[in-house]
Amino acid sequence: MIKKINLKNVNFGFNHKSFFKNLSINFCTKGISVIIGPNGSGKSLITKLLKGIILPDSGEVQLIAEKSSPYISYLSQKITFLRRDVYSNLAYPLVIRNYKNRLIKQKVSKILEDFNFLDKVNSSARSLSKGNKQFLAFIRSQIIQYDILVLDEPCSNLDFESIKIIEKYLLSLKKEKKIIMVTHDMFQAMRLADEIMIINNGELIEISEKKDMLKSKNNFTKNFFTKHISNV
Amino acid sequence: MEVFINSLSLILSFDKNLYEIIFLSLKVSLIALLISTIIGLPIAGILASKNFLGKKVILIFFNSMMALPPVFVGLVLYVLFSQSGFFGFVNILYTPMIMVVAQVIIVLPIIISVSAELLENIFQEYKELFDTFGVGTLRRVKTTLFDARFSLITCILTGLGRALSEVGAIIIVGGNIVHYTRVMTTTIALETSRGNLSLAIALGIILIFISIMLNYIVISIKNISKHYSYD
Repeated sequence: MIKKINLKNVNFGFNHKSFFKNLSINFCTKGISVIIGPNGSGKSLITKLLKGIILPDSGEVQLIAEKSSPYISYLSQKITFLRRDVYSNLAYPLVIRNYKNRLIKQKVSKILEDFNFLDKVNSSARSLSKGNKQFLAFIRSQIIQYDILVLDEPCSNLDFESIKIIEKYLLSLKKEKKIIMVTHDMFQAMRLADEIMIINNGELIEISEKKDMLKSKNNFTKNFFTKHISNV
Repeated sequence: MEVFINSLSLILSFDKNLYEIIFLSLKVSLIALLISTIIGLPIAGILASKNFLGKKVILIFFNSMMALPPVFVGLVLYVLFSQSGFFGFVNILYTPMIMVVAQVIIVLPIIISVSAELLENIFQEYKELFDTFGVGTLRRVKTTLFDARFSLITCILTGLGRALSEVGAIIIVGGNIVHYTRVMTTTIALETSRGNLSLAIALGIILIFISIMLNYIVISIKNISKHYSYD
């Protein structure tokens, strides 16, 4: 049970420039939180801060669960696979946690079967198509037990069928796990989100429940939604 | 022409002296290569995977060592291991062992520098993956070394080529003693100065043959790696 997922007065900069200035976000501890915003607004940086891949210059990332500190499974926008086959890439997170070979085989086979990816088990992960790579990266993010799932644009290269599979999976998962995801697809945000936050230039513009977002009076939010919907 | 015919007949008649020299050359170089690889790859792995104070200095040091003149290595070892030298008590001057030491000093910087650069590229690519799954330093090094294995073999064979063709250091520390420390390159140097061109050319042909074989192996590994490296 997650008790707190907060960014508290986070300052973070790069290239000698300050980007997040006293950024504070209180994420809802249940359901799916979707982060949206224009390119370069800092969405991916927020996911990296949550996972601990980057550390704030000052301020705090507070992740508190009922028992121990929660484990975050993270799917980066930048997908990297080892120079190995699909099986070994999925097994790797288990191997480094010293799982027994038999259990690794069981888990990998099961997850590949669940996601209908078993036919590619012996293929080179790096030679897969862009879409299949992203799908495999998503599968890999599900191979170990976690408390919070952080996804950075998990569907950007996927076809409609694969998006449907992942969305269905996420909706079934949200009862047990907290999910935070970044997306550029406004309709996906509307389909999945329980809460939506809009980020621009390293600032939190608005955070609210999905149903309230479309009625927002904030100018940036209104423009952002109008622009995206008119593009479609 | 006669010299070439004599050289070929030496090779084809399996001349005992000739093959003794070839065998010692390969033995010394392969042992030196093995030691350099065992020491060099973990060092390269750590240099590629860790950022620490002095890392650049270490890399510059090994890069510079690649250009170290073998004659100078031989001279330094001679001074250190001669009877009055700092390590004189070890008593290994003019033995195959000191020849291995000399070749390790020459080959090790090549193994470290070339593989560190190769591993660093892979490591940078894997960094976020390692961070995501909380992979420890030792496992990071092991994973990077494993995934770079085919390219590393090419790098190691470059080291073997360097060891086999080396003459300056081992002629000083080995003394080119017949049936004991005489290897292909030192024999070529000696026999050429003596005017015994048949043996020198026979050894030269063998060296070229080994060089072609090494290149063939490198190309084969590259081809095999296309199928098995999953890159």
